[in-house]
Amino acid sequence: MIALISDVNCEGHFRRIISYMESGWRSEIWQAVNAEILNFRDLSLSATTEDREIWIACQHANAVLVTTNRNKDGESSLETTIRELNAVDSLPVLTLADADKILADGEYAKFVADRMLEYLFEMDEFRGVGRLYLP
Amino acid sequence: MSDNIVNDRIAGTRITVWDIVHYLEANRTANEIAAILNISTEQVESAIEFIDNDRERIYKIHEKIQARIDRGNPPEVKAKLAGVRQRMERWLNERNQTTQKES
Repeated sequence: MIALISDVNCEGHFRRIISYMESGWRSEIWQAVNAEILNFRDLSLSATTEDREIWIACQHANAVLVTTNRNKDGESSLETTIRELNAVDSLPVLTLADADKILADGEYAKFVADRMLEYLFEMDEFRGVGRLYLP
Repeated sequence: MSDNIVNDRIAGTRITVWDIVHYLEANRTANEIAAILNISTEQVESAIEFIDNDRERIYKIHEKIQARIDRGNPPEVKAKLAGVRQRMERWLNERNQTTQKES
């Protein structure tokens, strides 16, 4: 089973996207995807854990990380981690391109939910790509 | 106040000054940003002060981050996504037809 986990900087955005995926026609696909929702505590991660450790923990837990990840490049940054550790079967990281718009614009948030469902529907297609943007 | 910022992050969190810049660019107030990111207004105000004191460096990195985001997914990912979308819609239609037949 695949899992989804939100970074601590976008938990409200994540809940909003999930609520759209759980309602209407999207719910049929969401149920078929059958993704488990995890949080940082489930993976023994904290609000201060570095990107590198989070990425590794997510891979071990078969969990797709959803993040905004607005960070500079550094030795433990997500960009560097993906560059160094990403393998052909690694799960991608889903990056919210415009976090504010998810909260400000419901239609945009639904569009993001649609795109997330497409990724989750055949996640194996996207293993190894490193980072995927939403939408 | 800027002691609350460590290595370009709000101390004790994973929230970077570039997270704050994103919401400032969207014309969010300090109170709104605090509510969105589940931190205190004082922490946001510390970040804003820090950004103002190191504006050139921070906005240069912000522009780099934004350019990466604006590039979005590469063409091969977009092509894969289009294929998945078609299969997902087909799956949904077939499922709906089966449900209608059963009822």
